[in-house]
Amino acid sequence: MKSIRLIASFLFAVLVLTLASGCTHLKTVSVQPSALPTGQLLPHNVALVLDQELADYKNEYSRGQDNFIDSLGVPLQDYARQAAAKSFQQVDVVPTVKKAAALASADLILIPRAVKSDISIPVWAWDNDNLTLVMEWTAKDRASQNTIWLTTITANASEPMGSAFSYGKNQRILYQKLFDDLSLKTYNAFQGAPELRGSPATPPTPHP
Amino acid sequence: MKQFIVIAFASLPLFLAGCSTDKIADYQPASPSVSERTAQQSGVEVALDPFVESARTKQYFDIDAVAEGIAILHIRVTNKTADQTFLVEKKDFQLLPGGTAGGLTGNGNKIERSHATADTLNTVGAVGVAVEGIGLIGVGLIGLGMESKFNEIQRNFTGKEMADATLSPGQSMEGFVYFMPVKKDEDWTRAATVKVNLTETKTQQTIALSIPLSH
Repeated sequence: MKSIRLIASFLFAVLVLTLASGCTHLKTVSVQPSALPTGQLLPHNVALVLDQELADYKNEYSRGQDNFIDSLGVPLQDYARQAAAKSFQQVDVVPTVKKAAALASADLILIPRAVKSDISIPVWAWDNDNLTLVMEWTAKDRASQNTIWLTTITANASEPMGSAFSYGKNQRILYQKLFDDLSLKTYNAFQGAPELRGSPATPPTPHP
Repeated sequence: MKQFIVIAFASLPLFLAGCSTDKIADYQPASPSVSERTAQQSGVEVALDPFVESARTKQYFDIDAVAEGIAILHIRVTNKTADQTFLVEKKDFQLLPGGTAGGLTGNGNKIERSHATADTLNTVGAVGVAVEGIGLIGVGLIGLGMESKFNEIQRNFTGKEMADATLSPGQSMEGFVYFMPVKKDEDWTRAATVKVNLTETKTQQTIALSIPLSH
């Protein structure tokens, strides 16, 4: 009887420790390239800046005592490359704005930036995880360095959280949906911008 | 102890009743809203609609922003020119509260959990660690429910925030800009002014508007 009580107390202590202590979960997100329409290529030679800030971007959130860090650098870089390549006649990837400014073959500098991400996690497995990612794209005239176009894209995705058995798979689907939404919205933003159509950007008139 | 467990079991459904996160209402602005203030210059119109009623902030943000010291401003910018593009960024909207020299900038920072609510959450967390057995699980779930709700409120703020963008000729854009901290439980629009700077992309010339919020 004494040993049963001892085992019960031990199990109870393990339960308390499990519930009270937190872990940090690191994950590198991986997604497939999104399907994008094949439209007209915009008449610009672009220096696409994929800097360290984008490469290091993480979606960080907590659930109870646990912290989650999802690295989004690789899929963000892949998405930026794909969206630009599908939209502009020539794309050269550079790591900094400085290098972009020195790239004589480019007339436009394109800078993607992950602004923020938010996730709402439900209590119950059958409710949806809702994920939002905000991306900002800036286009600068290479010669003058002036911003000629700026847009902010908010991508959303929802997927049931799932049980302990399906959580990983559902998370992959959630991120895939997010990048599909992001890619299409970005492509449409490029195609719909009058500032990016027509002849390569002309230098602005200097302000007196 | 036995009594405590029975009470904890019996009251668990009550505690968990609010755990499921409902979708927060989308904002469909009336055109024009009765509380809207507008200004126009060089072919650009800016319309501001301050959310000073707790009921409206609860409806669209699931939080009493007035009581929490968060100023919520709905903004609509219309470019009525034929050939000019303007740069519209949150950082270029500045709230100058009445009677102060300094201003708050709508710089797009995250709206963090308000102090009051964060304290409540921490209290629940602390109690969760202290309570035994089923009580621990129950309170832990309540904590998760509250956290889930906070996350959804945060995500909703992000989703409704005005995007930084260039505004092409003939186009309009709208969204919310948030300023904090403002005085809690007070009408933050009283004697307040919003200063707006918009840059034309070709000439790099800036147009400045000053819009009083108080009637």
